Amino acid sequence: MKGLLVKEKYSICNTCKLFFIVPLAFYAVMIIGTVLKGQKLAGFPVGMIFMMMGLMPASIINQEVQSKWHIGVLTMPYTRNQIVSSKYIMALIITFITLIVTGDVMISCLLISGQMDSENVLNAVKMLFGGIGMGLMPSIIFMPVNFKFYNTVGGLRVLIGALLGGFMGGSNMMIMDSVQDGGIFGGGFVFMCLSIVLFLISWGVSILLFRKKDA
Amino acid sequence: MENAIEIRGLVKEYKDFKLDSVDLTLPGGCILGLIGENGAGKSTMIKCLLGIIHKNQGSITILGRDADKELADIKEDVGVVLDDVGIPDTFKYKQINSVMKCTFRNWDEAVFEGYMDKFGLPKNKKFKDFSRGMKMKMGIAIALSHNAKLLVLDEATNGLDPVIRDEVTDIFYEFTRDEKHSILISSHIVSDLEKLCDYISFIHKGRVLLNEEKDILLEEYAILSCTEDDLSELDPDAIRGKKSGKYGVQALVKRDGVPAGMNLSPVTIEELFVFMIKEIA
Repeated sequence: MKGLLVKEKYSICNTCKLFFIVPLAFYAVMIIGTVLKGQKLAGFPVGMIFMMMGLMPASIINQEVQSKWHIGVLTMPYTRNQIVSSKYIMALIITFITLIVTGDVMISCLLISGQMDSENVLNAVKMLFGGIGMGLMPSIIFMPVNFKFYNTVGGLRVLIGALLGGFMGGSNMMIMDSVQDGGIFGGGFVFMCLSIVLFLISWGVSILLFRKKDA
Repeated sequence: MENAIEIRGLVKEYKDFKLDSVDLTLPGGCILGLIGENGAGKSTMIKCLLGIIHKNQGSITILGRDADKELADIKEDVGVVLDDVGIPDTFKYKQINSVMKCTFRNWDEAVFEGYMDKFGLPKNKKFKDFSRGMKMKMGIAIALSHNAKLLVLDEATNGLDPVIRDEVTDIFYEFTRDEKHSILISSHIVSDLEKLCDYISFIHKGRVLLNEEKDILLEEYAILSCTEDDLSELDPDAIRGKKSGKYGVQALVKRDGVPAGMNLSPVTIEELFVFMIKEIA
């Protein structure tokens, strides 16, 4: 299993560099907005940061199919459960790292801009709850689709991916705005819990799909 | 000694192809060559063996263990080189080594580096920038670097130039000098298999036509050059295939079915294969 996680790490570092630009840009916007302009923290960039980072494990499956890693890995001493699980574990690790970094940036912004009060801290916590939910969303949606169409490149998978990606991007603004207002299930906390449950269901579904799949 | 591979009644069905009740045995310490035309079912059989695709029926035992129950663990002792090596395109030597070190319990970095040098593989190039031959060599280096007891090679020598192919063949031969080591190899290059294999298996349209010790095959069969009239006098059971030409007939025959004094010449595995397949076709 460790080998699979190491492989995921290298694949992400090698091929997902562009994904890091989005969080960096949003961190910059956040810092400029709060520190220089005295604005309040906004939910949309937080959701986008989590979502972009959460997309990485699912997105490298395309590259795996192109390089035939999806066949090569089945000649190695791994079970199909482990192959699927490595993706989900990687998604959890990435979401956790994103939580730590984004939380640090948000707290720093509040501190430097002098907005460090209980209301703003609570607001930031709500956004982080919502962010965790958004970070898990790509895995919840894309992983089962990827494992259903594991040995194909393009076609139906890309079409479904594009539709679901559009849906996620659009829902981010709605969900994160609502989270800040204390909506979407109790200021993001219930949304996060629901996402975790859906994440576990998606994990199980992907295992079931991949167990039956011929590579 | 236990068999390295035992396949019994293996069935894999697609819409337009069926691997039909395949039985195959690779005795321990031996090299078995799978020969068949494109689409005969060699790769399908190897993929079923490794669990890359699911079989419909049959049982598979690898190194004395049931593949249905212990496949992942069995693969610790199996080195595999497929037609597509299956390394991520963006990986370089160091990353490949790190992944394999965490994958195989018995991964030997020194051996891997030794093969990298021996095969002249660049350490700073991405895998996608390797030539086809280099990719195959990388696959072979990986397969040989984790102390495997069984090598499964599907068209592994394709894309290699004759000099390297010869070198690789020697490495495979050296590998089986340890009596616990075995190889299952499929290739279109029958001359390589003839040089390397102890056992030969012919696959045609999803069925195993023949599974026999190479030396027995070469002893048992011969090429008869004669006229059509001479051939018609022979026992039809002794004739396994024939080719008519301007100057007479060439036939693949069983030596013990041919009277003494006829013009027999030794058969090669390639001739044996071509005659048999053409006869069936």
